Amino acid sequence: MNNLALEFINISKSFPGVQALKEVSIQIRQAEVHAIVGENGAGKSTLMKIAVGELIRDDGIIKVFDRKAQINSPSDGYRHGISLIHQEFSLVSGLDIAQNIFLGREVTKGPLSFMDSNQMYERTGKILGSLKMFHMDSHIKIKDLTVAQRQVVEIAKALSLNSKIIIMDEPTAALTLEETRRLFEVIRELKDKGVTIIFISHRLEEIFEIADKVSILRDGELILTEQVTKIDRKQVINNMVGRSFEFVFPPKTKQKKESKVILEVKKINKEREFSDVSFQLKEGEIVGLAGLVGSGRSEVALALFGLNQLDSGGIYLHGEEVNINSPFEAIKHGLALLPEDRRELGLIIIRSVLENLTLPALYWDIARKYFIDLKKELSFAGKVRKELSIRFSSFSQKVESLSGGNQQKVVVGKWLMTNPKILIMDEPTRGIDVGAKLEIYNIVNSLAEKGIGIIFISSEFSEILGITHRILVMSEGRITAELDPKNSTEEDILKFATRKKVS
Amino acid sequence: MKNINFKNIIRQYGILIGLIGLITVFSILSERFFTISNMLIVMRQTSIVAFLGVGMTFVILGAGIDLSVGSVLAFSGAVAAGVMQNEGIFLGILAGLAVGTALGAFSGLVITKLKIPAFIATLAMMAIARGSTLVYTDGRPITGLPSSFAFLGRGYIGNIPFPIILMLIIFVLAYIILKLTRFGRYVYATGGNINAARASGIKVNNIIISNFAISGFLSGLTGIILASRLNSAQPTAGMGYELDAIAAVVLGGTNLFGGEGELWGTLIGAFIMGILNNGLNMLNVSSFYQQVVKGIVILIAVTVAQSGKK
Repeated sequence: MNNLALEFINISKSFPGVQALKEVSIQIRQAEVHAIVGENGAGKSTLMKIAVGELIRDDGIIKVFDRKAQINSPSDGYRHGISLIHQEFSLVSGLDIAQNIFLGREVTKGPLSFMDSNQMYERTGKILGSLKMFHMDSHIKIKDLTVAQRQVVEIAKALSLNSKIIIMDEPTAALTLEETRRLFEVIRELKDKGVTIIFISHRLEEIFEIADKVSILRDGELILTEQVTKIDRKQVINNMVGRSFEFVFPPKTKQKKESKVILEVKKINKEREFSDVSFQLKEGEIVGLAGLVGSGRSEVALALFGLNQLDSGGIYLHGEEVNINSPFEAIKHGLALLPEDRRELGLIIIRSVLENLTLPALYWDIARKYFIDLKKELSFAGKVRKELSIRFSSFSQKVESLSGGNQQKVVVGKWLMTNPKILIMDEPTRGIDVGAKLEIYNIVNSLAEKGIGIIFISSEFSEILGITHRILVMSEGRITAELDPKNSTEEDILKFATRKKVS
Repeated sequence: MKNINFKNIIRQYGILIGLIGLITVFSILSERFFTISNMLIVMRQTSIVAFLGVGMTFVILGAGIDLSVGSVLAFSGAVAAGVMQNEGIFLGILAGLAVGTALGAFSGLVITKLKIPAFIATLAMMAIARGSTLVYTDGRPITGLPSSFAFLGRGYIGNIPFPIILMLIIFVLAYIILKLTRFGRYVYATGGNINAARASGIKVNNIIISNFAISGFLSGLTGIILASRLNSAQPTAGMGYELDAIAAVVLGGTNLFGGEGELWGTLIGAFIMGILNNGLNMLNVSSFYQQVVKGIVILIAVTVAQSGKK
């Protein structure tokens, strides 16, 4: 079992203006779980795309099972038994699981090559059955699956292709702890079967849990490859960022005793999403809303912001009941939402940084009646850029060209311009690197210090513990516990987050 | 790096280069083409496509499409002419503009409130407006319009035909709306990502309805100018004009999925359509072949523009 499954020798790749990879050499053994880590832009994804032929290396050699492989197109990658599972899945949402798995290579029968559906469903069922942690019927359409389930369909697809090497690009980014745990079971099963797994993640704790070896990339260069047992978290981070870096949450802000309640939610209900949710939020308070994906946290956030209509219950701002039927009214009442899916709800990625930053504020501040005050717009945007240290080269740059962390800061920035009293942040640090996370935490703290009440939604319990003043745990649409982060642990949160409804 | 710059140039100015190339080719092939008097004729022809193209730009920037402009143009022109016969020029024009705007706004309402795709809603409007025109005119041209009405389509200010001046005014106004007002910014935002726009507090339905109302208004205006040019309202006016308008917008580089595009591109796109018509006529190319040539030019232009993007 000690033969090399995949070997990169002096791989180089450059894009216009950037050297993405510089003579990277990594050896990956069979049946090994090999983690690749690095900050955004370190070259992880580029290297993986080269491995499967989605990008073509400028220089260097790839060896698969000790034989030189010419991988110059995705079909070459597939021929050599290498599959890459992207962060953004390549599944067709209107088709079912079996149809997706056999998409483009449908099994046929008879002289007229009709599709042999029975066989496809049977074979899909078998593969899904082998991933016993996830139970799914092969007839379910992709659009009806959770993110975790889609991930597993991608894995099943790779297995159906007889892939010996499966690369996963941030597979857990959108998964809950429980789902992550189950995915890891799947990975271990695959490993026992001799499948080699290359695993890209931002979450270091996961790497120590699942990986055998870790390779660290920085600025396109391989810094080191090491057994995870011979390296610790701090060393990994230091090597990633290239400087000594101790990850600690910034000190929490102090809450004033006399701070007033600014938001009160009383028994709000929405059929099949959440029920009897009640809580208060004070000025300058950071309340964590913890729970697994699907626990109703995001739905509550959307309802508060007028993007989801309530069936019953009341929302009170400064003691007065308000009716919020649209984001427009929510903004008018001083609310702001950093949505979970920033590309879908937070940003207009094909428009410029400036336009995105000032979009909500145009109505309230920057435009006089009909015309935009262009000078004022620029000066407002400049202020926010400085305050949040958002990095971009020009205001006319498209948002899609920014890194994840900077995109998230643009979303924060656009809401700061509306002077919100209440900021709802739904998974604000998902998919952004360690350095940017820390910056987001600091921003959250400074906003709280200014008196803004913050609802902080996250599936990363360590982050909820590290940043909030008070934690509400949700499970199956209900608040199951209120915890004090000072004397709670991740296990405590998980206990309440997985609590089933008592009937 | 040279290569990249070249691509950048194509991306930004490709359509302008195409226009200049087209003018050069026609100038070489025909002596009469590049003369002041012919250029004014070209511009007057272009103005019709340009009016519709400006409205279509709003609609397409907002991620919509308006197939009804040709029919709405015909109905507005007919109503304007009909009202004019008894009520005078002013009320006639007003009625024509009102009909166009109302039909556009109605399409917008159907799209936003009934959630019917713009393609289908305006396809229906295309039939409704054309049918209404035939009913209203009984299938015959409306003639006998007041003589001073002719100024709009055939008049001159100095040496310049009035439609050209109107085209410039409309262009400048539309440019100001798109670039300097909140509404313009909202049009881009709504077309770029309607969900994010709504979540930013924009009343996206109002934006979409307004876009279609603008397109309807400009269709109405075009119908009136055309009626003035021909000294009659024709029931078959504007047949197929929606395609010329869409072609002008697409040639101008506006993203058909919304959110990206510039008005000056549409203007140049309209000019390309106008010059093709005029130049091919001068070269005595049969009108049957002209259609084929126009189609091929659109394919080439869009292909070149796309290659610049990658």
